[in-house]
Amino acid sequence: MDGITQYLLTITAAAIICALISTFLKTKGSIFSVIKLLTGLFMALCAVSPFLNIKDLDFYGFMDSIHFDAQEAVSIGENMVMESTGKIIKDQVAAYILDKAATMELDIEVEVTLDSSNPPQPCAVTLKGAVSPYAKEILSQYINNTLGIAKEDQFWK
Amino acid sequence: MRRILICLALTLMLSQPVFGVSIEPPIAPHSAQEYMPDEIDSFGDDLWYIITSAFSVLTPSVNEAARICVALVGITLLVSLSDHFGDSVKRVSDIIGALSMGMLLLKPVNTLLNLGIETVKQIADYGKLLLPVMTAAMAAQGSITASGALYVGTAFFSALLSSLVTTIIVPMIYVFVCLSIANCALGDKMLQSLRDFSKWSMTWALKMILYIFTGYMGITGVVSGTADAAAVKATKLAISGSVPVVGSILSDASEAILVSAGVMKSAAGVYGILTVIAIFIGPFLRIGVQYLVLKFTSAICGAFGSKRPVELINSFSGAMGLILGMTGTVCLLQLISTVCFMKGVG
Repeated sequence: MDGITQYLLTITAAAIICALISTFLKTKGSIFSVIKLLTGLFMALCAVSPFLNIKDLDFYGFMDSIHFDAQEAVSIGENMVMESTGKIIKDQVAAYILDKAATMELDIEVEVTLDSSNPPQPCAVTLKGAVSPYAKEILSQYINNTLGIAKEDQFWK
Repeated sequence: MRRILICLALTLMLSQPVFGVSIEPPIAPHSAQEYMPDEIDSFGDDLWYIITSAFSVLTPSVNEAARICVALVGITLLVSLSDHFGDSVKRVSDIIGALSMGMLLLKPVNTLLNLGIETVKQIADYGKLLLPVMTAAMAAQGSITASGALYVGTAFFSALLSSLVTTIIVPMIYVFVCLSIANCALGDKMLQSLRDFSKWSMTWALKMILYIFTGYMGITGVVSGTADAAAVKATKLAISGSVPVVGSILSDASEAILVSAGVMKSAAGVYGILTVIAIFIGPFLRIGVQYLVLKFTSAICGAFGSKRPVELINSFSGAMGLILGMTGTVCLLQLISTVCFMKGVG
């Protein structure tokens, strides 16, 4: 801000000095034209001089930081979608399995694992509860046929 | 219909979502909270509330502007009377008149310029907080490319405008004011042309930034929006190709997320727009009153006063107009950006 104040003072002072000189040394003829020319040149020099001292601006660094921030904001949105979609899919898949278990009068807990695709898909399931081998077989087949989770990806505890 | 949709969006924003994404806009700064309604109901009503709240605290500014108006009319009258006393008296009275008018008007210009700078800073700071929220919401809605491109554009032009305002426009307004006073005192053509050039360059710079920004946002929105719409369609096709039950679950989940992200984005955008307007409205009215009163004063003085004092009053009203333009441009840039984010995938 100091530099700007300095520039401001310089240009205003120069303009007023030039105007004062022009007003009070108002004579006819070529001398006045020379005075006008000199004051004009002096003013132009004062106005332009700070712009000649501008250092290299780190434009690329600035744009890189903006791109980085944009990428970060977009990632937040994408992660939010992945998390929320994943939660809904997990809940829905678990609900399907629990519905089937309820019709078979089974009391189990279900934990669904999702893969990293977009949108995430159920790739494995962990089932907890005391279940007979027969019921286990029927439920396992149901999960395989309806939800596409292979038997080797179904874990019983 | 639009009001119902906005009401629905705001209600959903304030409620805890069971499914879907949760996006919250940044809280309005202290200065804006003075004008903001306690509860957000509908955009039209809330906008009206903000405007009426801002008008209710305007009286001191009007009184101050009226006092300055009376003083300026008095000075112009005295300077005009001295026209009848010969050249040397006229020259001295022109200088004294210009200096006294300058002394009288520099204080409000300085106060309002600082107010303008503070407003620009507050809008830029709020924009910096709102921008990632809107980008994330837009990306959640499937506009990955468009949201990134709009973020880059808004951040770049916002930073450019903020630095232009603080490093060039503000000093140039002071230069403009000083040159106007000097021109009124000395009646020099060089000062007059410099004064006119400084005003023209400031107006031109602000206009150009706004034109380029609007063009960039419009073109980027359309081009990137088309690519994003195609990507969303491709994802839907991929979902429909999976196991029937799983496919239906994925489709329902994706749809729920897209809808909730859209609702949240609109709600955050509406709140953001209201906040930016609430930050801007107070300073806008204060500067606007001063601008109008100075225009009115110059019209009165033009009826009886000599040319130079009237020109100086006009120049000061021009300076107020520039402060108004400066803050207005920053506000408009933020509003255009938010609306572009709200529009989303084309």
